[in-house]
Amino acid sequence: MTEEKKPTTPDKQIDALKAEMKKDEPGKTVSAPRAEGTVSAKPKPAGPPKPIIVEQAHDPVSEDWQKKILDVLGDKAKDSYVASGEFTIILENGSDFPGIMALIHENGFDYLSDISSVDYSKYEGTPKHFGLSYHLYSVADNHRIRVKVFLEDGETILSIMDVWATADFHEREVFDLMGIVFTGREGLRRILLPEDWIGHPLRKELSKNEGNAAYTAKLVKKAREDA
Amino acid sequence: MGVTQEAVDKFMITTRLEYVFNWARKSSLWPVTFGLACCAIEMMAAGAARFDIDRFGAGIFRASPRQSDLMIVAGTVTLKMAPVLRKIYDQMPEPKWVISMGACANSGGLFDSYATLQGVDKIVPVDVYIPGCPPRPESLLYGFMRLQDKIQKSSLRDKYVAEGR
Repeated sequence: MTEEKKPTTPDKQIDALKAEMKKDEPGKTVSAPRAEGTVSAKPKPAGPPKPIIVEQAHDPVSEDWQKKILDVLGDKAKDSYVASGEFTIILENGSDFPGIMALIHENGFDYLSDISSVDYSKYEGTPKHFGLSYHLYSVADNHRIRVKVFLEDGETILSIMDVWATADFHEREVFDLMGIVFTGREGLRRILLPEDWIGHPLRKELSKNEGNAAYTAKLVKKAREDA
Repeated sequence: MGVTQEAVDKFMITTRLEYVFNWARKSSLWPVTFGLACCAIEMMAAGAARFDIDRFGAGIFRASPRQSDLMIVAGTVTLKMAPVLRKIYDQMPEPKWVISMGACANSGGLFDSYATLQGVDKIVPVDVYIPGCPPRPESLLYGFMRLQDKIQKSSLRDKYVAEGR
């Protein structure tokens, strides 16, 4: 680029830049296209691709304690594998679900670390709408099990509060944020969000700020009334 | 009687009451300690020796809103914090000012989520918005100086006219 007299003000700089870009457009010669020219020639990129589920590598169950648990469960375990070094059991949602969990509890898994829920509705190739993962821990043996259950939208699941009392808060959290209903228990109400919150914010089909806007409006109204 | 023109020229200044009030107020603002997130770290840096907001007369961060007349909302305001923020604002004696510091306080920032208040101006009236994520102490000082300008230009009757009293 030849040394020209540099434009002084920002406006003049922009004008000069525009003039340069115009110069390039009609030419479209093969020789060394400028950066701006190449960008405009490119087709517009499509929107982001729909996310897909990337399955982790499933290793076969190898250790004795894992086989022992599977023997106890028999054909109640729909599937089982080791993924990312963690023993995973897939269970069906049904009336015997708390019974199966009680069986695992009897075999040393005396602590329920967490219940997490996943909304798969925006993903391709998922088994069902929701997934629930129960993370169990054996304090004596330092073993962990991940139990997965898949649910359709609106499907309820039996509570396991009778097996692990700590499931109370975990189930309330899942209900609060994801709207999955646990039956056969008392006091299933919101735990993190205010009682008068609208919707369940981690559900993908809702706009994420729906409840936020409604609740903010309430706050603003209250602040105005108090003032 | 004894007051000569010479004495007037030497020792007396005449001005408007409003000007003196505004000058006194802008030169000694006492902010309430209201750090909510990472912006608070920058606010602390602004208060410390290197940047020293005390040079502008706003170095005494009070832990009680009753002793403050400036609220620097430094950080993300969650919906759970919003009523608390409003309560603290209400507890501050008049006249009082609010600086919204950083993107989160201005508009919710990158937390476009269910839990975050999308702009602190929904809850309290804001005098100065400082952009940045987080703003550097220089930005806070600049915003603070703009607030001082605003206070100096303000009129005692502004508030009452605006509120229709």
